[in-house]
Amino acid sequence: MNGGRSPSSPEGFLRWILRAQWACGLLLLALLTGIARAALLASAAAFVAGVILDRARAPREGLRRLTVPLVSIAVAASVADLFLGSQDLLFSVTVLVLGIQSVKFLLPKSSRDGWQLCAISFLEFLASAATTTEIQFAAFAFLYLGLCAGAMWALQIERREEEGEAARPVSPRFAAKLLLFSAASGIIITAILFAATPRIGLGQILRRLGKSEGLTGFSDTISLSDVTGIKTDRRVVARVEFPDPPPGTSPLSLYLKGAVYSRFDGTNWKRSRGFRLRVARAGITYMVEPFRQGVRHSTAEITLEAMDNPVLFAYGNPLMFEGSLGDIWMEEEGNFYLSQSGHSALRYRLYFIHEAQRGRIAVSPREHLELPPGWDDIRALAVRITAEGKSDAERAEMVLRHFRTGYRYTIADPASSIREFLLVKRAGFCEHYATALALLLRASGIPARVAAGYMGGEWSDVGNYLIVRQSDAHAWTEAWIDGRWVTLDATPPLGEQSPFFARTGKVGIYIDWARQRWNKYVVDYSLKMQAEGVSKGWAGLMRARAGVLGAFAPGVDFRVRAGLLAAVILPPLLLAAILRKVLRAGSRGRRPAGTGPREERPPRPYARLLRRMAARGLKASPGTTMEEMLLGASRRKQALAGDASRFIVLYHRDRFGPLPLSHAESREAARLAWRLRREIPRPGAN
Amino acid sequence: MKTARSGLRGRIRLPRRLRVTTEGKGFVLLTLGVGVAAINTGNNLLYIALSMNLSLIVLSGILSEWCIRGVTVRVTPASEAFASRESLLAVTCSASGKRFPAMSLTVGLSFGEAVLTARFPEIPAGGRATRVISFTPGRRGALPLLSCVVSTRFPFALFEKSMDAPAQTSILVYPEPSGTGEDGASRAANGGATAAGRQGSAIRGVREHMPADAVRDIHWKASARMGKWMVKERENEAAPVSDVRLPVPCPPGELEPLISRACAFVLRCEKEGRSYRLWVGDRLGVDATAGGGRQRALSLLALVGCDGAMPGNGGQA
Repeated sequence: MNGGRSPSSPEGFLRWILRAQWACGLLLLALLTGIARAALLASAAAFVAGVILDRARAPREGLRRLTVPLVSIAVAASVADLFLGSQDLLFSVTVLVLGIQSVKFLLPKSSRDGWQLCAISFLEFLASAATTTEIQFAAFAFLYLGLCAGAMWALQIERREEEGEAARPVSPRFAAKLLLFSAASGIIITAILFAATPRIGLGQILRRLGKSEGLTGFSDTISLSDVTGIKTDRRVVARVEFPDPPPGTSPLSLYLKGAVYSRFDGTNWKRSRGFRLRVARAGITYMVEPFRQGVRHSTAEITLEAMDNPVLFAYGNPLMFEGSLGDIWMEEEGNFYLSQSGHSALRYRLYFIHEAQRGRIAVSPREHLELPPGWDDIRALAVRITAEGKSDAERAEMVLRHFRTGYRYTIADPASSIREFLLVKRAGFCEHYATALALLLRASGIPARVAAGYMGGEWSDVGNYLIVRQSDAHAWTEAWIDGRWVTLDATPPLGEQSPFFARTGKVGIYIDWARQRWNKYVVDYSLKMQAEGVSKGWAGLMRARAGVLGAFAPGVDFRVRAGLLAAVILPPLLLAAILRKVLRAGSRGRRPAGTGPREERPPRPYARLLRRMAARGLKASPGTTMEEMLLGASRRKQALAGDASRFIVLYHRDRFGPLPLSHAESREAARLAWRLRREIPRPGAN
Repeated sequence: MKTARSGLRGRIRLPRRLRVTTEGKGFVLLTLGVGVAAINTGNNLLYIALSMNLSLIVLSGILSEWCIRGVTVRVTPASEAFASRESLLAVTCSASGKRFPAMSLTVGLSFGEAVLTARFPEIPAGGRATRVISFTPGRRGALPLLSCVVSTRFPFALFEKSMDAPAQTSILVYPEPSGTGEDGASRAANGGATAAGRQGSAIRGVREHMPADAVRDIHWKASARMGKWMVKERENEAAPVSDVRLPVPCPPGELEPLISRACAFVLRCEKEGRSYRLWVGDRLGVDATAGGGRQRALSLLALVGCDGAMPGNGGQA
């Protein structure tokens, strides 16, 4: 492989594309994954060294002796990484692949080596595809497709050169156009194939490659620790669409619940250690509760970003989940968890009832009424607040009203304990309010617990979905009133007054929209979506059929029939014409040059010139050639003779020559024709 | 059964044929592997990788079709062809009437057992290119072009797409000349070898250039005027005529050496400018006493059969 040619030379252009394809695999690993930085650096260094050696045409046959030792080192590094380092099969295999790639970069390369390096680069592309869900992957896919096309083209030429063919340089402009075409049309074909390929996820061999690293924040306990870090974190936790939103409720006021906490030890809330059940599953459908007649349910499509905890977030009272989620577990308290400890980005559809429903699982009153020992002052406060309440609902309302009397929201200077919050400082954040409310309710004899998750978010008008960020993290209270868990929130609604409120700019909203679409239609594209697409398509077809049949019923206006007929006939004809055009784009048809119906016409500048001459009374008589006429006309104005002669030469070459005019010559012909049109005088004029 | 199948395949001949190259096999295997991985993991980005590979296969089909469609082939002899001697063929590949250049073309010509290959790295759209290839025909006679296959591995070398190109060409292979030409003549020489012809100083006229003509005989002005090579035709001295006779009918084993010697004799006569007559049995095949009989004589020798029959000449010489 001759690597020493100038990049500006045509051969060099394709070879640089080939090298770019090799390097693109490394770039993908570096930017989209966290795989083996040291091995990546080594491979990148080997790539640069290989390029320099190739260009210097340095003799390197002696290096081949080092192949076995270097590959052995790569194998050893890979094994060490598997057992002592990352302990991840994908990472270790990637280390091995990078090692082999580094060795091949350094050695002289035949076309066979070129193919092998292309294959390695593709494996790196696969590794990044297996470990990332970032939207940047789409841009890289487009780039990579063009590079693959160019690389394989270069190797094809390389192979023919090795077989003894004297390769003719490929024009860089032609190569660039072809590669751009390959990338653009390749992406379109890829999109069609991607949408049409049935999604069958067997998961029999290896369910998921790589580790999922994502947002943190949920644990088994809640405390009154500093929440500034979370509140200033603008990372997106989830994007939620509401195909059937709860009636009369803004999505901004919905609570996306992660977990509830029932046990309070005076400082921390902890989750209850009750029994847990596996949610009944049929394929991708998980039935939590049977749908109840007469009760309106709502739907939310939640795309959850990668997290390092197994919590499955839900709105209201979940009825059913849909999605590829593995096993889902439900705790006694109503928390939902996935089987694995963390997960990559996942998407699921949730059917839920927004209004509080009667609990299916009996509540253990003792646990939800417990107060830490020695909290009599809190009991006294609760008794004082709820003295006039006759029912649980009234008492709960009184407690809620209590928090509107002199309490203020602060993160900068919160109370250090609940006692201080309720009795002294009356300043804190959502955990203070939720805990205080729950304790006061318990002290009033109402079972209560604390829930944590996210509240509201930012509504995207571009994509009509809710953006839930880490800064929307929230804690609230649930009280057992009239046989159901009712959500109560004592935290004052700050809205745009919140110190952490920040509205996303227009560009940011569009970027987020692109990310949401990417997640929805690519990362989480599923068999169910395909089935829905087919179902909608079929329904549309049936509607169209019914419309057509209806249009031919007696008494229908003729114009309606004609319009429908056109609508039915024209699209297939248009499609057929486009297909024909694409398939025949390489040739002008089977007729020999110069005999096609279109080629009978003279080139456009010449035709326009003749029309102008005819308009000026210079009509061609039978027996007079166009050339004679033009020369005769220009003879009256000697300054035009040179232009006319040159134009005729170009015309003859264009029309009768073996090759079409070059771009520059065509422009020259057009310029000359324009000048002649303007300058040729009328007969008899001076 | 096999015959029937091959017969059916011969009748239903697809306009294009595809052969998967070694690199293509690797690519297809890799694609299958990605497909299995995608199905197993349900990872949609792996499905994208799978779709990308499939789209490259589709693109390869479209681009190779653009490349190969509309390509025409013309095969002409570039030199006289003698049996068992190296000869030259001019293969012209034309992309006239195409908007897309023809890239990495290979033209495969099958003349009986001989299979010839001409490679064309690139033919610009609307242009043409000619390659001269050498081949060694095994025997004399008309050598029809059995097949002309244009194939390309453009763009990605994953598949080799080929098509049959109509190229109606038949090459006439002259017999292999053997001996010096004198002994062949001795069989029926009539007058002996006298140096004559093209030695005179007076020029009778000009005629088209023949492969055996010397460069010094080229008439440059006439060549320039006619646009092709013309040579001076000189006045001949009166010279005796040599006769060569082919005794037909004759067993095939004996006829071929005679034809070879006669061929050498004809070539020698032509080289030395001697007049000669070629007899097939008792019939006069070619009378070259007036000159210009080289092609006719060699053609007769190329086609004559053991019984004196000559295809395309009424069955008899």
